[in-house]
Amino acid sequence: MAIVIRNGIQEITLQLLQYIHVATAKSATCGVILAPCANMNPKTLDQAKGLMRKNDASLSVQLIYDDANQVLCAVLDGGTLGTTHYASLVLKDFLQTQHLLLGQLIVSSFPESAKPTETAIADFIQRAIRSKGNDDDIHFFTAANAETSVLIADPDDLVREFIKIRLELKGYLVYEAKDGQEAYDLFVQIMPDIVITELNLPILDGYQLIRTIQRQDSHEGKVIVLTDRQLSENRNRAYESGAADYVTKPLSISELEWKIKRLTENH
Amino acid sequence: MREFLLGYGYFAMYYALAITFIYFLIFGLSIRHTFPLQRGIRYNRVRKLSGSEHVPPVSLLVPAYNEELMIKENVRSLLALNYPEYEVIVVNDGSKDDTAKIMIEEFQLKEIKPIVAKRIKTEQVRGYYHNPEYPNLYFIDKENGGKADSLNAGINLSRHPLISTIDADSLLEKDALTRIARVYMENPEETVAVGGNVRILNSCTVEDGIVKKIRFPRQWWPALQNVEYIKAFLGGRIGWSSVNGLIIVSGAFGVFQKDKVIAVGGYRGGYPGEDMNIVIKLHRYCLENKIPYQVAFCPDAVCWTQAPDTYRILSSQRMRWGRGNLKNMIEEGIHMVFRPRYKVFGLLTLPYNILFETLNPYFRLSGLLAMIGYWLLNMADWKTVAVFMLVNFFSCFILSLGALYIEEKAFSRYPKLSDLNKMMIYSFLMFLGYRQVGVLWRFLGHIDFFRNNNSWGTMVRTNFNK
Repeated sequence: MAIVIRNGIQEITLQLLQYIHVATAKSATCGVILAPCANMNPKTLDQAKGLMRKNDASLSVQLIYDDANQVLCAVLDGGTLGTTHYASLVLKDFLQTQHLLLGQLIVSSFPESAKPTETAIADFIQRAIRSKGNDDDIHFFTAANAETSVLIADPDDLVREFIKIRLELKGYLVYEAKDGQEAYDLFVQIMPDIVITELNLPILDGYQLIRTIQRQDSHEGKVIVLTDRQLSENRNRAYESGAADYVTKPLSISELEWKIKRLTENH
Repeated sequence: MREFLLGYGYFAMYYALAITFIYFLIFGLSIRHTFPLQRGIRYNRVRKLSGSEHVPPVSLLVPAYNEELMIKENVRSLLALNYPEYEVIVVNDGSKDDTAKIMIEEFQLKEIKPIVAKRIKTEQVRGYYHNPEYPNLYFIDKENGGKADSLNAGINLSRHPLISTIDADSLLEKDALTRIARVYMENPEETVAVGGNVRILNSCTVEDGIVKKIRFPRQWWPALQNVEYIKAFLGGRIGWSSVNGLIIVSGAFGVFQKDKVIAVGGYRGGYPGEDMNIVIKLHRYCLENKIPYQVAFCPDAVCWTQAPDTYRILSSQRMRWGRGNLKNMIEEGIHMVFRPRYKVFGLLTLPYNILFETLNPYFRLSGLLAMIGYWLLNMADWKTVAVFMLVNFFSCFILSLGALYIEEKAFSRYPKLSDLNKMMIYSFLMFLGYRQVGVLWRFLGHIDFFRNNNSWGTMVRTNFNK
């Protein structure tokens, strides 16, 4: 069992993701506003909804309030970044007058500013939670400033843990898998930006993992191989399979970081 | 009659003294070589080697007969070893179950028509299978011909200069091959064979083909065998290998130079004990042709195997061993024993094996009869008998404890103190029946041999996780 970060935002993330998928299926775009706020009850929710409706009748708004994390999510069907931003001004005004707002409002529109993947949404929500206690202004969430997510596939617990700690300190979102099949399942689920894999994996080996990922997702250059194997033919096969880079163990973690950085900047 | 019995008594005493002396000699050598081994293990760079281009490529030969339960996981774990360049050749020995079907479906294998050197004659091969997705996995499907025959078929297909034989029901540790290769690399010209260490898997926890939690077996039979294995491998084989007199490389896990194996005609079929047979033939071939050689043992390369856990299965295994051992001694050993041209092997290893291993049951039985004779003729001085037996018992017990000491000092695989205590207790319990039964099994095996009963016996598999 890989250790996926399962804090309290898992549930709300999935819920929001579903709303977004429904909305984008219906009207191609979907705006989302997140606001950390305290003590929302059904009555204030209705009031907020009414206000936003009055402001722009063309939008259908749905409001979800997550008690556990004290975050209000507003989902606007067909909302572009512009219209969502405008709606957020209204919402902010209302929350401030009711003394409910705890931090910054964060605005985004899918798929305009980011792809609606689980990682992106989780990141989006976390950002709203983290903004508690800051000034009450409005921020935008886009893929460009989203946290880069990294998936590490390595059978060695120590290696995984070491890289994970280091990358998390640098602000990456890190997922782990200990064999090829698990890595692939996780990849499909979270669509990470970078995959770091050992070649020597049980079930699906590294090469197969790289190939299936490349078939799945035509992003060039997402896989970094990190392996014990130093033979040139291993290197060749890895690049042929579609790896973007090749690092051998014993690893220099800073080298690995630079390689990740370079790859993420490219795409 | 009295004179005869008295003479026998003297003989038995010298026999016991000689066996004890050799035991202690070998054990002393084992202890002496444990520390250099331990240093080697501590300072070797297994991680570095496991991807290095300097490590010789190896062909793993995996004979499989009726292995449908385990074959999938085993091959998967063999494909994920930490080793730079190797191929896995699974040989289906005409299984009566779905071994072949499972392999072909699981790895989506397609039939290929490789050019195979027929260096050793084998049974009819039905087909060779391969899938480019798994470039280093080959599967041979052939008519039933026994384990030796499967290994020979694997040798014919293999591409690398080293071959490694692995039982399909065993689990290799991830870096076992690298460790064995290290021993080979220290002397690649002369090392013709390297044996690995076999440990008992019962009661350990296995996850994804990796032994996660190591525990001393909870059941009687495996526990006794565990102590016996530790004694034989660490107290015996380290010593024998240090004087280059090792007579057996376990069939469960060993590495050989392919061209030497082909030179001696490959594995001999038809009888169990093919693992001992190949080593004897290698010794003979190298000594007769004046080739400097070495048969090494690598105690840190571990292969985990399931020990029989019922009387029936264990007895059939031991009878098989007894039969194989006798066959090897009659076929090969007898030509080499006590001949100086065969050096240590002919002057120490073989005499020890023939006198104290193969013929042991007869001495034991005659000893028992003699005891009855002494008692009937009132010749026995019970005090002397008791002292003699106690001395004998304690010397053997000390050796068992010594083997445990090597285990703890150099390898210390069992993390719990209670396991160590159990090992000591079982070392003691070994003498109360288990060894005697072992002698009996060997004797029954010999009877089987002379009656030409040549069945393989039963081995029932269970899943690893119990």
